Amino acid sequence: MPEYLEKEILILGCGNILLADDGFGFAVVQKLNELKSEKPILNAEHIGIIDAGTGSSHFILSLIDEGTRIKKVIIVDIIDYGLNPGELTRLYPKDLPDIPKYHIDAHDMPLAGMLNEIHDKYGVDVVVIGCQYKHMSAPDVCLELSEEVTASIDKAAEMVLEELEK
Amino acid sequence: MSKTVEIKPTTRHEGHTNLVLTVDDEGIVESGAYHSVTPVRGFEKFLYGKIAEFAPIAVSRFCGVCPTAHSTSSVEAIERACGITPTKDGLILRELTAIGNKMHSHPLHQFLISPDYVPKDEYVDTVKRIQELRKIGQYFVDTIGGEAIHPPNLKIGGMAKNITPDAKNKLIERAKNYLELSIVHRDYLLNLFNERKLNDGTEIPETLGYHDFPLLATSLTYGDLSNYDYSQTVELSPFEEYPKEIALHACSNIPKYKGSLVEVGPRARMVAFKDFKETKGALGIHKARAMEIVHYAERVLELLDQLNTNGAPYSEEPIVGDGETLGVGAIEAARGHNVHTVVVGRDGRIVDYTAIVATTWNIPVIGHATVGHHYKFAEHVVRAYDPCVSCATHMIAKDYDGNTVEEKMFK
Repeated sequence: MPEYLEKEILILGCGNILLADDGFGFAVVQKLNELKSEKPILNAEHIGIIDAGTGSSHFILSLIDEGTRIKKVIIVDIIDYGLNPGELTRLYPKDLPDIPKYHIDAHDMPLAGMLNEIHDKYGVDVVVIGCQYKHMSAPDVCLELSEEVTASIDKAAEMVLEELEK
Repeated sequence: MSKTVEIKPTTRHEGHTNLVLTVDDEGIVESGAYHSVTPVRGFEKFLYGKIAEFAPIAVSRFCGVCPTAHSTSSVEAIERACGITPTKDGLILRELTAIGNKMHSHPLHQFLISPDYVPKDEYVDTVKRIQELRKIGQYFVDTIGGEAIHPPNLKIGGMAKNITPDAKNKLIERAKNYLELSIVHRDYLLNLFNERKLNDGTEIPETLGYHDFPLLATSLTYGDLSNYDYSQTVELSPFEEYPKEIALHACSNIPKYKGSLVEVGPRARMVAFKDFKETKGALGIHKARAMEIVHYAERVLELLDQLNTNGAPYSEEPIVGDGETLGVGAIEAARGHNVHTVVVGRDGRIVDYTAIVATTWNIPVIGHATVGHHYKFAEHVVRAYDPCVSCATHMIAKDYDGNTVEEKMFK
């Protein structure tokens, strides 16, 4: 089993750094890695911080099954809930859109369905630290986050730390 | 009277594609056009002017499925453009990471086709075995590549880090587990495919998916440029391959090698390097893929044996080019021959970048391979190729004389 599946808590920064605000998850992962010296909990053996890009369904969530040691998954990603750009919110499985799994194809396995499944079937706690995006550039490439979303990176990192202490 | 059958979108593979078939009164496919409709994203163009070291990072974001394969092709291409020789142990570590990716990817595909082939009462055991194989594959990518998804250790000149002797021992142990498990899995699948039946009892025609195009593979496990002449490659516009109304929607180039479409992937590799000839077509690809996982485990054990954990992981030669030399990186990704090319300037910045990814080669072949059988079997031909389409979308095309096709053709 890869080491990251042996952790108790996984922090997954999701999204594509090439698509403007979609790089938010990566930015928060970077911030958490920078904070490791002042926040020792981030170095704990049982916690994994992963730049999950757009691969979390393939390489992580679909590998969680009944033998899993993972107790909690913290997702950091952008959301589109009609909030003010940069506004942060916590979402739990019940708040996620009810998208049937494999609705489209294996590439677009919607995260929501898989998050619900690991929660319902294997008892994994799931929380999404969601940030309302302003600019999602797909299909165009843009390497910068919007100002509003950039301003939320530190706060999102704090929210992740709060989750670790719960 | 010909009728048209359209499958939009095709399912249980990666990316968005359509399959348009013309069929006769009995439903037998007369012509097949399989094409990508994943929007073009222009990843290559945007690399122009960026520092070369950024390319392996950026290309690992082409897609969420094959980050390792793209980063590997990218570092290989840049090394050739800059005249850098990677270290021996760096190359071993890199090949190990690349194989780890395939050790995960092949079983994942076998999971996607399980609903077609695996009998209901054997389903749970099969999927559990697949999960075990995937976890070990990911153990390799995670441990050697440095992270599970976009391996940050893949580096121009080699790998950013060597591994500890302790990690090496753990990997050897896992590789042995994989070898045992993959033999069980291979034998199970080969039996299943030899029955030539779907799990609902439908018999699969023996010649399903047969075609006359040549095969192209450079290596069984990694990539060997001595088996590939990039100058014999042309990329054509979809208008050269599809009827106009389909070409207008097609988002991938049509690459040809030595003047012909080619099939790449597991069957191409097994035919070239393991003399696998007994089955062609869709089931031939499935069988080749099932056999490959065992060869991966064998090769991994060989490489781990050769690895010196004290060896230099990377070469420190400067990452600068001459603004002219075209570096080619060709890696056997899970789905086949994955080619990146790059020109690096004297300032270390990218002057030109292209990628002909594995599935781009297979896309036009897949349509032709559906011909001659009832259209109800067409989806099984498509799925046999494990198409992964997102990163296959491109739009820069040249005609036979090397002239860039007018942009208005695409608008």
